[in-house]
Amino acid sequence: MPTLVSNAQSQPHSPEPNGAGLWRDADLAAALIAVLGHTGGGVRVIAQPGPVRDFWLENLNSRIDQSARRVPGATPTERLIGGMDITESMRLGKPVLAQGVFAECHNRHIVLPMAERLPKEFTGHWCAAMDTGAVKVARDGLSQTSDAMITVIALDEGIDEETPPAALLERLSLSINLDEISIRCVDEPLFSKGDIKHAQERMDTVALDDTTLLLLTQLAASMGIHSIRVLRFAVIACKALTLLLETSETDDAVIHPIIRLIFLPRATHIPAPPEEPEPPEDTPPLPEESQQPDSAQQQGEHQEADETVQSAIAELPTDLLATLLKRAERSRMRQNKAGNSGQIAQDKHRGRPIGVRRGELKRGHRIDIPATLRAAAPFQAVRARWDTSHHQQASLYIEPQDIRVKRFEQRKSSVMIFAVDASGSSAHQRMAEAKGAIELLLADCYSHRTEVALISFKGESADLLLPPTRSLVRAKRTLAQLPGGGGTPMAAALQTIYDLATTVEATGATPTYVLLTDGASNVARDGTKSRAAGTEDALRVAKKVAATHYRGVLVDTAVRPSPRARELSSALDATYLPLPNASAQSINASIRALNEE
Amino acid sequence: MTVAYPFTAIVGQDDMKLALSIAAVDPSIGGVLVFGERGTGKSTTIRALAQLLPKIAAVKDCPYQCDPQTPSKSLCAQCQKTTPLKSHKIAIPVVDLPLGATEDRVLGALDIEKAIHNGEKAFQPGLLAAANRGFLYIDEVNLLEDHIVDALLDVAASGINVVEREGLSVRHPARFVLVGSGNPEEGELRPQLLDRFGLSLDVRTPRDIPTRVEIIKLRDAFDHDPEGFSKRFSRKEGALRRKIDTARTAVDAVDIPTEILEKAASLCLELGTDGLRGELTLIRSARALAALKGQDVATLQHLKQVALFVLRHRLRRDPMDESSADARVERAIATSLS
Repeated sequence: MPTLVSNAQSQPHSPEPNGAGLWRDADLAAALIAVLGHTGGGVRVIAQPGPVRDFWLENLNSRIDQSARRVPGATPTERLIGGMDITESMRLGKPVLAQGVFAECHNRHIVLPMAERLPKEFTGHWCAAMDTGAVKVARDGLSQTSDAMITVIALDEGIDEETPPAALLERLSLSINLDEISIRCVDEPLFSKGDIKHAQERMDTVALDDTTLLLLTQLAASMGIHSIRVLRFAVIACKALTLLLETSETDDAVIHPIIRLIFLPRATHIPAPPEEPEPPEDTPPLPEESQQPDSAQQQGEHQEADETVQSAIAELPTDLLATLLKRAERSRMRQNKAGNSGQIAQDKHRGRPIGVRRGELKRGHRIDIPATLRAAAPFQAVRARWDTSHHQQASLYIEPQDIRVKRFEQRKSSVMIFAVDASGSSAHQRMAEAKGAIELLLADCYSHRTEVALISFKGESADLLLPPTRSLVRAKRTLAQLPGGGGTPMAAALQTIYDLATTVEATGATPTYVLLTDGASNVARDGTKSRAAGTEDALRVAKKVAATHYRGVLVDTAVRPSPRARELSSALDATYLPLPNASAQSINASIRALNEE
Repeated sequence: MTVAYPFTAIVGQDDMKLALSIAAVDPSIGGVLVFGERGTGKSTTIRALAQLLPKIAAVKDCPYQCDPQTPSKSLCAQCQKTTPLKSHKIAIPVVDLPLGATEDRVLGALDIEKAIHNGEKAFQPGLLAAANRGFLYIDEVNLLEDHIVDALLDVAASGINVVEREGLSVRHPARFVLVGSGNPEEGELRPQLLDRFGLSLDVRTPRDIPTRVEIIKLRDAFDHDPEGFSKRFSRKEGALRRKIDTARTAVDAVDIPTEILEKAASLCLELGTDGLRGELTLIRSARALAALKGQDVATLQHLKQVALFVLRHRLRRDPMDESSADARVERAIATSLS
């Protein structure tokens, strides 16, 4: 069986269907995480729900002692880490702690479905349990620490820009993608439960040689992976793999799956391709920070490892690298919002808890039992004495004024999209003033913790220069470097605003846009230069934007207020502000007014 | 879980180790904030500190570990009434404030069991009581719920925890060194809390290959045999522990020349830091560093070494200023402390 795997790895260009190799990788990941358990963190399984994923999970379950338990991402804090056991506490008259899911899953695998939707407020709990192998509870008048060595199988069903929270991804050693695998490629597991057990028992006996360690370190550095945690994952996965494959040396059959399952999904840049003629004094294609060891012996080791790095990189299909890279880029872009998408902001019983207050029993309120008990406790003796009913005395008297309810808040972030007309007509007229106005607005965004995005349009297209960011320095710099000139592709600009605004809204934030233009549209959607077609296209897209009810302001940058800009703003259903009268402050005020509506 | 990774076996991260040692020498410096990317060993280093701290004398059976040597007015209510106080040696407490902790456990609250069964109004001390005279560690401090942060801020400033709830009225000493860690990508820290930390630093993973290989090797050896590994480092740990212990007693005697005071003041003036807290922390940190190095006079060199930790999070933030806070502090150090 070991030969089977190494064959597959050494012939990436074999005529068999593409999915077969991917499936073997996925299967290997299942075997590895079965061996590693908690020390390996978990697996990120990128796949839409379907038979392939079901089969993969089944294969995993067949190799571990207890089937993985499914824990939905929306599981609240008190269930995750544990909290007061209300019925027991009432029965015994003292606080009793109920174990949380994590403690119940000690030494088990957990399946986290829809990991890309994991709410931000719970991510920390998952990460803490994965890091420490224990849960600490300090809630509801109780404190306890219990073991919780969990292994997380995160099912990532994200499409487009949705990804699980970065903090979670960092702690999942392996990453596989099942989407490209055809159901025909799916196969029985390569390693049996016995193999896994056998490997697990011998994990402590494997020592990793220095060459492999150096190689892994260099590989990580060459792909721009700086986290030590990831490197540790690679080291232990390497050990587990040598045991599974029953080899004594770490050759390509071991290193290549590690690259594919651990390093590549995290790569932040493509390693430099190997240079054909290789003079010995050539510097290796590593980031500048890497230092060369001095001793000759280490140099030799270095060289050897270096060649392996090169050969390993050469093996990788370039398009795979490119797609992975794009994914990595996207996930970085979205780090701040990951997993927080699509929730309704005004929800009364979700979000971050912000304390407890006196309340009443009514729909939509969640009672805080410990707080309620505490409020009722001092009056127990008095109430028992005054209890004149002839029934048996109650063991606990709780009256309406004792009720305490939990308060939650859900922060709704907002994103302000600036779309700047950098066409010739606008640029010459009032570009500098427009930039000044934006800078003032940026300062305002900072104080409101609003994110900003920047779109510029000129010539034939509109470009998203800056995806939503909190970094105003970046916004300012991008703005300053904004080039001008060319036609006005208004329709393309509006379409870009529309696309970005819908994406922003899908992440749970509120989009607002500020369009700075003189309203002269002279480039149509298809790129032809025509004032009539340009205007017509622009008005059509404007209607689409208006239908979404996103709030917006059109700042007319023409010398005199132009009827075209006014027409566009009414089509957009946006507030119209001519720049001659619009000081930066007044733009500011009108946008503030929009946000407060 | 049982054995923590030894502090002295941590490769690199010298800034973090130095800052934590300084905070251990003089708790009045006001804690350490460690911000950094994922996988830099923030939590490992901070947890390792717990094993390194010297023992202190405390009143026996006191839930607040009162110091029997202090004047009676800074003791807890119970200890003030008791004479004579029975003393014993305890390890300096390092208390974890777990994510999702509720206010009643952090501040302390009415003991439900006693209240319901005996109708007795008893106070159940919280984590702040347990952390008195020690360290309070908050991992992912930027994810902490706001109402907990507010409560913490107040206590950290006054050193006294006042609980007025459920008919209780309790005051107890709660002087602790706040140690926080977090990843800036996951959320910002409120400026008020930021200012509360005496020292702040930004950690990065070491990027050079030999250091990284060394880290992995040591970690691997530790995972393989935690007890054996810790034993290998026990001599080093003991040496550092004694160094900190000696410095703790010597710190008050360290002399600060007027020239150093003036330099510190001019540095803060140059940077326009708000309030006196920065200046005070600067002096205290330089003094603690001198004590740690076994010297009895704080020098300009000490001041230079701590200035970045002390001031980098105290600058007035201008969202439009492109230069980083670190660069500004370094520039000011170059001009004011030459």
